[in-house]
Amino acid sequence: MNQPEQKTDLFSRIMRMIFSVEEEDEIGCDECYEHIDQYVDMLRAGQNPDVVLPQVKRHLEQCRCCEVEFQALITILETGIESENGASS
Amino acid sequence: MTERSNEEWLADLQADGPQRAEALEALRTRLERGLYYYLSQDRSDLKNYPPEDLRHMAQDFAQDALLKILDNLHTFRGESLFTTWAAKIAARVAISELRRSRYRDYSLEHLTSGGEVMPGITSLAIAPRQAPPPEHHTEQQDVLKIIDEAINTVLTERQRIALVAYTVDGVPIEEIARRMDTNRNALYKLLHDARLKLRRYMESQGLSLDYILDLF
Repeated sequence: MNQPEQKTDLFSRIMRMIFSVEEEDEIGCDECYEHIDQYVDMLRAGQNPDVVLPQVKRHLEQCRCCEVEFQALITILETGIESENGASS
Repeated sequence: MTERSNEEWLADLQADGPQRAEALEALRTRLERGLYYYLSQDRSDLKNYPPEDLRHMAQDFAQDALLKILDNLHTFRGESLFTTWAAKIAARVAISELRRSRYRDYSLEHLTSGGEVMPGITSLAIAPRQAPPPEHHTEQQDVLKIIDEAINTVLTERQRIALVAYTVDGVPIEEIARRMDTNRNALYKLLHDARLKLRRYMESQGLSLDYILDLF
């Protein structure tokens, strides 16, 4: 374990996070949450949601909290929310 | 049994009697299964939990989510599958509770006393793998001074605290928001404004991301 190296990695990540901010208004977590189900449905249907909902993509790139929830939603859908047909329980 | 359409889900969940009970049970079963898989497969922080505990957690989260879903049926706009919308609520319920539990003992106090905030970010950069040549070291110190100035002169105290809690301590936005008596959306905006101010200041001082990353 190289603690100093890990620290500088974190410093680099923070600098990237600061410099990746956009001047124009980004959507917030509430608006992302409003659209994330639509975004995920498009993704799962093989469509490109980034064309219709580019701000959601942008927000997910910027917000760790929403990104974690987005990934969780994908997992939950893949396993639990599939069609009732063939569900074992 | 065929899959319900969005309209059928809404109708069944708002009906009376067995029709409603059946729809509720179907939704609960599916949420619980998805949540259990998420807790057992995706959460490294829960990997030592026995399956039975995770199953109970999934049951509790599914029940809480179900109540929230029923309370908010009128807000479903039909822009997604009903089950995706329901799963979105379940994901938020579960993750919010896991965050609350994980950061139960976290306090912002260590960031507010005695100007401890300032060294938080720049102190991370001071331990390179190998000591740089003296002229490089001076250059690094000059850059860190500018970053410190930026953090301490252009940000409000709330922005400084939130930024360090989020970036250095790795605390989720909603947990920081809870401790700062605000909400997640407002805190995201506060952090966005903080980042913008820092970026503008550093760029005004001739610093670019590539330059900083090369230097450290």
